[in-house]
Amino acid sequence: MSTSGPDRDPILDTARAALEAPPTGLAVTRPGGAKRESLWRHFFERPSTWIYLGILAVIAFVSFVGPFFAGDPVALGNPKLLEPSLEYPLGTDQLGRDYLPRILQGGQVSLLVGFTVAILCMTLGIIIGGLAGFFGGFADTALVKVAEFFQVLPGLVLALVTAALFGANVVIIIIILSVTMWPAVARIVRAEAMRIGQLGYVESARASGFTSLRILWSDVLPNAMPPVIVATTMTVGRAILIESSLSYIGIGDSNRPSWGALLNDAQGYLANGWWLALFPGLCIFVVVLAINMLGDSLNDALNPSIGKVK
Amino acid sequence: MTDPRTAATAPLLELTDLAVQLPTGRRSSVDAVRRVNLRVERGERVGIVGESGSGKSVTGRAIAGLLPENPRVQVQGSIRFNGREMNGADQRAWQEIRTRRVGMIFQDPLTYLNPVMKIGRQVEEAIPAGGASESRRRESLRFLQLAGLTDVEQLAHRFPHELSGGMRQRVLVAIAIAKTPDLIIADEPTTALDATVQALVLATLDETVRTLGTSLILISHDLAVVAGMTDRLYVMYAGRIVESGPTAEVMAEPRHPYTQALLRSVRSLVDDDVELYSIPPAFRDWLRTEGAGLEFTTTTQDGAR
Repeated sequence: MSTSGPDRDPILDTARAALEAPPTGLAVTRPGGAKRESLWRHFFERPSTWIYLGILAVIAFVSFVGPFFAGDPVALGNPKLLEPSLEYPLGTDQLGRDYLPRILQGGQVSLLVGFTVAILCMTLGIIIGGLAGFFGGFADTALVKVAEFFQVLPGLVLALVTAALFGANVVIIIIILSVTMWPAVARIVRAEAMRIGQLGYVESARASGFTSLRILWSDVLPNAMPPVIVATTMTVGRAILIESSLSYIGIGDSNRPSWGALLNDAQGYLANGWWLALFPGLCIFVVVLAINMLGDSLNDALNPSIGKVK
Repeated sequence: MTDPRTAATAPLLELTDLAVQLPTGRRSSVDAVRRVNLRVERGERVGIVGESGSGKSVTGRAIAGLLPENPRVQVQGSIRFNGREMNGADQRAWQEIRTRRVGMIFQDPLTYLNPVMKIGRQVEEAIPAGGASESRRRESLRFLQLAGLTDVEQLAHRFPHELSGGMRQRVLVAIAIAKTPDLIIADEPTTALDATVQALVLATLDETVRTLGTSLILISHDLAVVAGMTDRLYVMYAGRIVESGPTAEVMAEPRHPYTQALLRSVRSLVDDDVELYSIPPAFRDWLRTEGAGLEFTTTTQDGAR
């Protein structure tokens, strides 16, 4: 029966022999220097990553540096509704303003709003959602209620009231959008944190004596990141689009029209000024697409087990 | 509180009348562990066997303070570690136990490793004291080697999903020994592995524990696993210890009917045609209700050696 000890077991003898063989690991010199595997390497190894990053970088660079060379976005006196030509690369608008500097300025506003809102939402969402989901109990209940409160706030009414009280400028638009959009990210983080909190490696980390906050930081949040990053990239796109809607109903910085505002201005001139709608629309489309594609690549890279043969 | 008089002579771990209640629903709870007495000396290897639901894993987690933090989880009795009472101790004391004293090895090697952290760093993080990152890295590689892994330099840069099941379980062993603990609790360490790898990992664990002089609590449903690796054996059923004693003695002369039944249900390699014994349901029910009176621990008095 089972009284025979391990010393007489042939399988274990083989095992011992295997273990007594000298470990070869330290003797092996690594060819070509250290080939470090990194999560981010998967991301930056893809050519598509560089294409999308390049598109975004070019648009951001041109938007923020271009205006110094492209002329005055509000100067009147040019011919009205002129098609794109060598002199006016993107044409002129219905008031005779050069459209190129206006597009560039619009890019500043749209990109600024989109990225700032997304970063604020992600930060708030990770902190609040992570704490709520991982610790649960009273903290969870309280934070979920707070998130629900902000989520049911009618964004449009909030924007109208705030604009009436404080005036409409980019900072206020960013605050309003962040306040109404962070709960979406927080809910995702919370769900992930709850799921991951039950997993073995969190128990394993507890068994290693790590404090809860450290476990949250080094085990829970990194594993919760893939869906959060996708949600954040979508937030960039959505923030750009919502900002345009707000501009349309007059809540926006009228001195600094965004792409959305330009697009809406162009609505009355679709027949005789196609370029007025095409260029801001194209800009929004390209930027949102590039950001979403980057989010997908990042998702794959942060999830090293996806797409690998077992 | 550490009593200086007993600290030197006290066993490494002593459970006295340990009872654990776990909530199962809004108003119901189950007595997962009932009045368990258990003792582990320094350097001793102790086995806990029993079928699933017998309370052996809950006992293991209670020793490491890993039961869920819920007011409805009740732990009664005494958990003495190095003569120091741990039941009711504050978080800081438990943190100290978990950081330096007790290492855990769990059943499923994949889910117990962080999938987005490299192997090397997971071992490094388990080394308690600070120190230069380079020396910590060296240390972590040494522990990986101690756990029977080779090519540790390359291995340290891999992610868990790139490793086989046996390698992952060895990584868990490396993480458990990285704190150079006084006690390792291995909860079904090889159940998720196939038989050959199981033997290899057990041999590694055996070797590592001997080399480091660490005490071991090996929790398993498999008598064959526990038989070859432990000095003393506790048999648990329905939250109670129904039999205990030196492993060889319990194996040779099981006294409690449940242990006898458990031994008869081990598959024998010699008698191929003997039908595998399974414990009849009526016997289980009888054990659950009447078995309480049969809690005779045969060798609580002598040193069990």
